[in-house]
Formats: sequence, C-alpha cells, structure tokens
Amino acid sequence: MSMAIQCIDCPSFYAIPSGVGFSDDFKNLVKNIKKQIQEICEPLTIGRPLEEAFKSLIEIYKECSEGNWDGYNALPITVNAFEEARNVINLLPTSIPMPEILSEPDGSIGFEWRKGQKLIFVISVEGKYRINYAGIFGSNKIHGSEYFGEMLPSVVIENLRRLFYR
Amino acid sequence: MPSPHGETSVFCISDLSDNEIWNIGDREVAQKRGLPLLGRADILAFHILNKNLKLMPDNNPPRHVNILDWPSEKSEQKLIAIELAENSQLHLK
Repeated sequence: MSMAIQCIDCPSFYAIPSGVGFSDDFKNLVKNIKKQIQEICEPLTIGRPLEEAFKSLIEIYKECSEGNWDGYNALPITVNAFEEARNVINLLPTSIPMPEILSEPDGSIGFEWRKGQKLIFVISVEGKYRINYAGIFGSNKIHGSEYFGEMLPSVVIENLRRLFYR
Repeated sequence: MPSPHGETSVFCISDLSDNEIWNIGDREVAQKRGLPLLGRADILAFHILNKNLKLMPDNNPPRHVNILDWPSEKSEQKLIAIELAENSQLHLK
C-alpha cells in the first residue's frame, strides 16, 4: 500500500488563505479547492489522524469553554482560541504525527509532541494571533513567541523538523 | 502551568500511602471538576525549587501548597512546565 506524504518543507494543503479575493471567481475557486482537499483527505492515512485531532479539539473546547473548568479558576477557552487551534491543525505538515491537544489554565489550547526522554516540543494559541512555543532537544532548550496569521511561523516548522527528522 | 493568578496548586504527599494520595486527588481535583481522576504526577520539591519557583504551603485544604514566582512570559512558563514534567513520575489510576 502506498502512502501520500507531504514534505515537511511544503506549506500545508489543508488551509486556504483567506482575505485574498472577494469576487465570485475567487469564491468558486475556494469551493473547488475545498472539494479537492476533501478528496485528498479520504484515504485513511491522511484523513483519519486529522479527523481524530479535530474530534479531540472539539471535546476539549466543550469541556473547557466555561470558566473554572479545572476547579481552580481556569479561564474559559474562547471561540477565537478554538478557531486558531483549528487553523494550527490544518496547517501542520501531514508528514508530522498529530500532537496531543490539551487545555491550559489561561484559556489557551496547547499542542504537544513528544518523541522520547528530553525530546519535546509544545506550542499554544489563545486566539490573539500569537503562538507561544517551548522545546527540549536533549541538552538544548528553546522558548519564544511569534505572530501567527495565515501560516505557521517557520520556527515552529523548523523545530518540528528538528524533533522528527534528526 | 500556572493559573491566571500565577499559582499552581499541588499537594504535599510526604509520608502518605498510595490510597491516601489518591483520596486527595478524588476529593480536591476530581470532585471539583466533576470528572474522574485518571492519573497524577509526583515530583520532588527539589525540582520545583531548582527552577527558581517558590513553594508556599497554605494548608487550605490540608496539605495544599501553591507553586509561585512563575515568570511572566508565557513561553518561559511552558519551558519550565515541560522540564518539571520530565522530572515527574506519572501514576495512572
């Protein structure tokens, strides 16, 4: 059985840039692209992990969309944070395993990739156009914050590559 | 990770049996969330202090401790959180 794999250097094909056109032609183009994306996602190797990631995100949002969801005054996950997290999932290269998705007390949604002892990379979004990230790669550590608009910041892609392709 | 008030709630489990530890989790975490307890992470106080965090017991409820002095920058909090996770022991219920 052959498996379609997107190269890690290529931008994700799930996400369609928004706000680049307003005409009927553009709307038709977006509609056709969405249909083609749906067909690409039909094979289990691509579609199933994505579907499970979205399912996990929706469950977390349902559980944590009201304040104090942890019993210790955690902030609710807002719809903006949920939408931003959905964009993250859509923008992840398909060659990377789907992360574990979790909620954070400040209302952020976190994504965690763990390859083994001292090989971890985490990012989070809270609906404010920023991605916060941190990672441990053996004896090396990184952390930072980047603007998040329509594409995943290159530092996120580079560190996912570092985690899975070293 | 810290709460919006900059604290992380933990419980001191020194000298407690496994059952007693799980009871604290059921009473102070699971019941508050209305969800079943799936596991816990145990960590030595040394690892928390080693990250320049502070441990402030308040015994409210009994054995409750707050971890304080988290850095204000979110990404730095995340790094400390994953380092603490690396130094903790996961126990599944």
